[in-house]
Order: sequence, then C-alpha cells, then structure tokens
Amino acid sequence: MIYAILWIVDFDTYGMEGSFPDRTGDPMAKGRIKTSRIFLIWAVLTALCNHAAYYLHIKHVSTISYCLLIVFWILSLKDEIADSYIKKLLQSGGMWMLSLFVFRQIRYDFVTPYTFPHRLMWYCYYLPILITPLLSLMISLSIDNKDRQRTNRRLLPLKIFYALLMVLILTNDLHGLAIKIWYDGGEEHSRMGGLYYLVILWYASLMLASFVITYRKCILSSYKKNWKIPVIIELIGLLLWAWYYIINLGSSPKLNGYNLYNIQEVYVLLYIGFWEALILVGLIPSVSLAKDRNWISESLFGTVEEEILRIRSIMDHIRSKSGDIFRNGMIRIAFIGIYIKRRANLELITPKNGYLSTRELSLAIREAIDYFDFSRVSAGYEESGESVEVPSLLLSAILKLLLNTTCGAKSACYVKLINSRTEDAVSITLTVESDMELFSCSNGIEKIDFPMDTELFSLLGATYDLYEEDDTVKLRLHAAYPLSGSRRAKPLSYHGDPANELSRITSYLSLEEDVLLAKTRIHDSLGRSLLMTKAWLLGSHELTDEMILSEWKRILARMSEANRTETQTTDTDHEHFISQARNMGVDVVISGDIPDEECLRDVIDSALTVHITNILRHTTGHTAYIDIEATGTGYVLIFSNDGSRPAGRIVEKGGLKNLRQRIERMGGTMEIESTDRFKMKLTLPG
Amino acid sequence: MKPYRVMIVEDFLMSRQLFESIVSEAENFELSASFSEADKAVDYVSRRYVDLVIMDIVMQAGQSGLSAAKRIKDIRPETKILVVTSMPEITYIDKARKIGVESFWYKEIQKQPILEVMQRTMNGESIYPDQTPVIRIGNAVSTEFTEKETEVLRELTDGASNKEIAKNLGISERTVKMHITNMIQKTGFRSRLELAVKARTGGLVIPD
Repeated sequence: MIYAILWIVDFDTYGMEGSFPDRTGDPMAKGRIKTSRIFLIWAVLTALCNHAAYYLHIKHVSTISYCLLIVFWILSLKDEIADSYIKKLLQSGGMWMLSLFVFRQIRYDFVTPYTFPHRLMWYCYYLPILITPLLSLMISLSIDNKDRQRTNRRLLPLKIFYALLMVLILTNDLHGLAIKIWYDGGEEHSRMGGLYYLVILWYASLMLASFVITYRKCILSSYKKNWKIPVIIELIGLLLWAWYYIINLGSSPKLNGYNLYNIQEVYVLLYIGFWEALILVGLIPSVSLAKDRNWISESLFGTVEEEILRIRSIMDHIRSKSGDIFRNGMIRIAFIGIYIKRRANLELITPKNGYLSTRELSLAIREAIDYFDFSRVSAGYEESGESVEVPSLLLSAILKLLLNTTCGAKSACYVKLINSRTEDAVSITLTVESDMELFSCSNGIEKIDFPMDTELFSLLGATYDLYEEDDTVKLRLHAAYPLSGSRRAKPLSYHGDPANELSRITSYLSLEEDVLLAKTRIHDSLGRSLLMTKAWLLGSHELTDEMILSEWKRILARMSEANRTETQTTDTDHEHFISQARNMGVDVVISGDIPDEECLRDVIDSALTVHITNILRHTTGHTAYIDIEATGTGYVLIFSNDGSRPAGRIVEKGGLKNLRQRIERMGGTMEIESTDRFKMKLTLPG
Repeated sequence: MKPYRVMIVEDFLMSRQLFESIVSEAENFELSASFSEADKAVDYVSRRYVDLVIMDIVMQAGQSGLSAAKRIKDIRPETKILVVTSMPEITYIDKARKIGVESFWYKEIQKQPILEVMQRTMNGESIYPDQTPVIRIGNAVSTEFTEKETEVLRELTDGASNKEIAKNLGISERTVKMHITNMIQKTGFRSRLELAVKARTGGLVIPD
C-alpha cells in the first residue's frame, strides 16, 4: 500500500520530464524512473500476495516482500548516490528499517511469548524509530558540506544522548513510560505512554529539520518547486501513524477483516519513502539529477577552474613585485578575467538548443583587443559575413584557444573570422596569426604548453591546421554545421561516453533561474574588476597596486563562493562597489531607499554595474544618479548621469541585454531613453 | 526642377544620420532611401531609380561598397555614385575610377563639403582627391613606402607567406624579404606580423 501511495502522488508527473531540464536520452535518469516503477509494481504484487496469503493462510508474505524491497532500495543507492558518506547514511537507515521487520518477526515467530527475549525484541522496535531521524539529520547536514568533521563534532552530544537512550531502552524499565506492557489472562496488553508520543514528536521534528535543511541547500529552483512531494509523503505517513495509534488504539485499520497496513510499513514510508522522494525530485544530490547541478556548477566554475588557478598563480607571482612585472601580470590577469566573464556570458545567454551567434565571439575578441594596447602587442580583428549560429561550446573552446594564443604574442596578433551561410549549412573559419612560439608560450608571467585540444574540437566537428611560417604561428580552424530546413539543427548528439557528456552539457547550458543569477553576478563582478583594471592601466591616480590586487582577490573569493545558495547582495557589497566607482571617477548619488528584498537588491546591483560601466565607456559623465521610488505594486528606479548623450542609437548587448532578460523574467520592465540624456527606467515588482 | 533623388549607403549610424540630414535640408536633393547594408541598397536600386548614391566603402561584415558600386553601375549605369570613406587605403581611388564611380570623398579629410561635391557631381563633374591621405605608420609615413613595398604590404596583410607573395608578384622570395625588412626598418616595428597588423588597423591597406 505504501508504494501505491507514492503512485497516488504521481511520481511520473513530477519526474524527469516535468520539472527537470530535458534529459531525453539520459540513461541515469531513466534508471531511477525504472527503480521507482519497480517499487510500485512490487508494492502492488505484495498487496495481491498479502490478500492471497490471508485467504490461503500463508504467513510472512508481506514481511518477506518488504524486506526484499528494502534490500533492493539499499542496493539501488549504490550507483545513484555519488557521495559515499551520504550513501552510507542512507543505506544504514535502510538497514535499520530492515531490522525493524526482523525484530518483529523474531518476536512473533521465534521467541517464547512473555519472556525477556520476547520483550527485548519489542524494545528493539524503538531503535530504528529513534535512529532513522538522527541519520536523516546527518544526511541533510552532510549535503554540500565541506567540513563534515566539524559537523560531526557538533553532533557528538546528540549522538551520545542517542547512545544512552538506546542503552536505557534495551536495559531499563524507563521504556515503560513509552509502552506499558502487562499480561492479563494469558494475553499481552500494551498501552502507549506519554514518552512514546514524545518520541514520535521528536521523530517528526528531526525529519522536518532534515527536510528544511535539504531544501535550503538545493540551488536549483526547478527542483525546489517540487518540495511538496516529500512533505506529502511524510504527512501521509504521520496520518497513517495517527490512525494506527490514536484512532485504532494501537492496531491496524482493517477492511473486510484485512489489515490495510502494519505499523512497521508506516515507518518504511516515513524514512525510505521520504528519502526516495527527495532523490527523485532532485532535492538530494544524486548521480542522475545532481549531475545537472554538477555540470552547471562545473560549467560555471569547473571549466574555468584552471583559469581561476592561473589568476591566483599570477597574483602570487607579482604580489611583491612592481613596475613592468606587476603591470604585465595585471594585464595577463585582465585577459583571463575577460575569458571567464565572456565564458560566463556565453553560458548565460545560450538557449536550450545550445547554439549561439558568432557575434558573441566577436564581442569577446573586441573586448580583449583593448588590453593588447596596454601590453604593447599590436592586435587586430576582422570579421566578414553575417553572424551565424554555431554550438556555444565551440565559441567557448575558441575563446580558450585565443586566450592561450595571446599568452606568448611578442609583438602582434591578428584574428580573422569568416562567417558563411548557405541554404543547407553554416560555417565559420577562424584564422589566428601570432608571433608566439609554437606549442609553448611564455611571457615571463606564465608558461603554457600549447597543445590543441584535439578531442574537443573533433567532437565539435571542427578541423584545424596549426603551423609555423615566416616567424609567425598560424592557426586555421574551420567548422560547419547543417541546417535542417528553416529550423535549427537538433542539438549535437554523439555516441560514446565523452560525447554523451558533451551532449549533456550542450543541453544543460540553458537558463536556470538560480544559475542565471549566479552567472550574472560573476559577469557583473568581473566587469567591474576589469573596468577598474583598465582605469589603473590608464594611469588613474586614485587606484594603487594594492587596491587592484585586493579587488581581484575579492573577485576570486566570490567566484569560489558563487555556487552556493547565498546569492544576496549585502550592504557591504553595495558600499564597496560605490567606493570603487568613486575610485574610477564616478560618484554615485542614490535617492530613495534600496529595497530589502534579496532578489531586488541583486537586480539593482546588476543595473548599477551596467550603468556605471556605460558611463565610463560611452559618456563624459562623472556622476551616476539613481532615483528609487516605492509604488503600491513595486519599485520604479531611474538611472541617469550627468554626461553627454551617447553617440548613436543605443544597442542593447552584453550587460544591458542580460539586465533586460533578468528583469523581464521577474515580471518587471526596462525602458531606455536617450533623447537629451541617457535614462534607464526599471519597474520592478514588489 | 525636381530635386535629385539620393540613396545613402553607410553602416555607421552617426555618419548615415549626418548624410540624411544634409540631403534632407538641401533644396535640390531629396532622400530616397537610406541603408546600412550594401546588398539591400543594390536590391533597392534594381527596383527604383535614384539619381545619386552616396556609398561608404568599408562596411560591417566585410561588405564592400566598391563591389556594391560596381553592381549598381551594372544595373543602372546612369545613376551617379559618390563613394565616401575615412580609410586611406591607397588603391581605393584607382578601383573607384575603374568601376566608373563619378566622385570620391574622404570623410574627415577633404576640404570641400560633401554637399558641394554632390552638386558638382550632379552637374557632370568628377571629383577625386589629388592624393590619398598621408598617414603615420610606426615611425614612417605612408608616402615613404615605394610602390613595390606597398604591393608586398598588401599581400602581407592578406596573410600571404613570403613564398606566396613572391609567387603572386612575380618576384623572388629573397626580394620579398628585403622589402619587408626595409618596411620594418622604416616603421620601427618588431616583426612582419606587427607591420601587417598596423597597416591593416591603420587603414593603409585593406584587403578585398
């Protein structure tokens, strides 16, 4: 009956196709759906067998069936839960559930009634009831916990308390306060005491705490919105418990003389049903589902982790240096920062089909060209043909390639991109010329071995030619993708393990609310840092070497933290940013109160970043004005400045484009005017 | 007399708006169309007659105003064309003449106002600057390069190797290297690639 209840709350509706990213073809996800369906079929068979057994007087069918089900569940966790510690905790809870059935069966069938072993087995029922909520709490505290030892130390008093309690239960009449057992006329009677209900209250409290902690740790809103499922499971379990003990005074509810359920089965629902629901809806990191989170997290930081380490390494190298060495190091950091920022931006705006316009690559290259002047490397970029759409992974790979290519350019670097479109296909040809050393580049700051990532480019369908000629390293890369009629081609799909992973990344680089927020913050934060660096390189008197170094330190720390759930902007962040804006020559004048709501503060932070960036880049203004007005339904914010009207029509790209997407997602509006002066009006819902 | 119908083809918004404003305010000119893309302009001309086309040479996405001008001349030989550019690329003037472009105007440099050039063009004159602008490239100016050096430089900016340049120009590889070395010495650049990049970004040489 228990798994029939799971079916009633319709796992399939909330399963893979509904809330999660499109996982068509994901074998792991399909595996977990299969598991839940096996549970359901098993439960139905158990119910049928029970019914048959009742009439055929066959005992233990239900017990055997549930025991096998529990064993199956424990085994199914082996490949599902990647975190071995969490897996062990879940499995040990399953073992305790199994022991509950074993204790009951031993008590009823294998020991003499009314003897001490008979009573002892009954006392042993408490053990799983007491231990499983503690295990649940430990599981929830272990999720995404990098310091489990400290957590375990903090839980030590609770564990000691539990150990004492278990000893008392097994050896002392204290348990009589929970269940009073007496014998009358050769029959055993029992009555629940106050302590029993206290234990159940304690059980419910710990399970609730486990749920709340698990929910809060999940960073993906598409999973969090299914929170009701495990809650419903727990509530049903508690209702069934209440029906058993309070309404039926300690006996199973019956239908036509047939037990609807036994109490031990309710505890299976309360523990195994609960955690299985959490796994299936994605609130607990499982291999099949947390890979989304892992990949998204990786796609944000894992795949630029190498670059983050490079920045740290350069910072360590130049920390005590000055003059040209420090300057060259900061320029190098700026290049890497551009790469990370542009990479995050690519992922921010990649649509579900994984294809993106080469225009985004152009923007990234043009931004990088600015910094070449600082490093006294002559750089040029040329593009021909209208922008075409190619896999965003290819653009990311090219960005990385260009980042490494610039490492060793001694005096010049030239990049040319040719876009081509026919009726059936689009293609791009990238040509890079640099007077670096082939296969190894060193600029006194970094040394990079420069092998081509052949497998990656091959998987992306790109061919390349890399050679040296006339003291110039030349790279020519070509990739072509078919168009299917007037629609985009299907996302890349490959066969074989690496390709499946690529396909998965391609599919999952789509916008997820929380990830969008994290990536936007990284993009904006890096944007600010790059602006500061540029101002410093241009000789701003207000910015010192120490300030620039500490700015990058702060950003690196931010990037390491940004895949957590805490994404709110703090007052300290605002103050810091306003202070840095002043250092760059822009005063910020805010009238009105910044809203308290976290999500609004974040958006305002982004808008402020974009506004100040655009003042520095496109106007002669020195003061950024932000007028905030609370309306009945939300807030109206007007951003303006004292600078000249930007030349030309305002084209929304990069920061403005991201900002508009974000605001419209949350139900707000963004209007931009630039008749006399630039003015940006945001209407945000309250 | 009916005003002359003018079509503007310019991808840079400010310049395009400026031309539109000049044409709209002029008494004997009227704005017929304005495009940022050469292909659309050619398509327009194929369907409607215009008296004068103001055509930018270098446009986004590698579009060439000179190619578009040739196509327009093929479709409407009677339509007059005034090409405009800020790029000092030395071959533009010759190419424009060969296509049959009536007039040529350097945006920031030429002394005559564009309206005057437009009027004189419609009056039947052919206005061309006397010489390309002199631009600085490294330690040298563009007029310091010999004709052969400029030819080699053009091939260089196209990404050709020394061997390919030699083959294309019908000279020896050694001669190519000598020309390149000379140009590097004149400009003070550190490598042939830097020479090529600066020539291209400075607008001295713009590949087709």
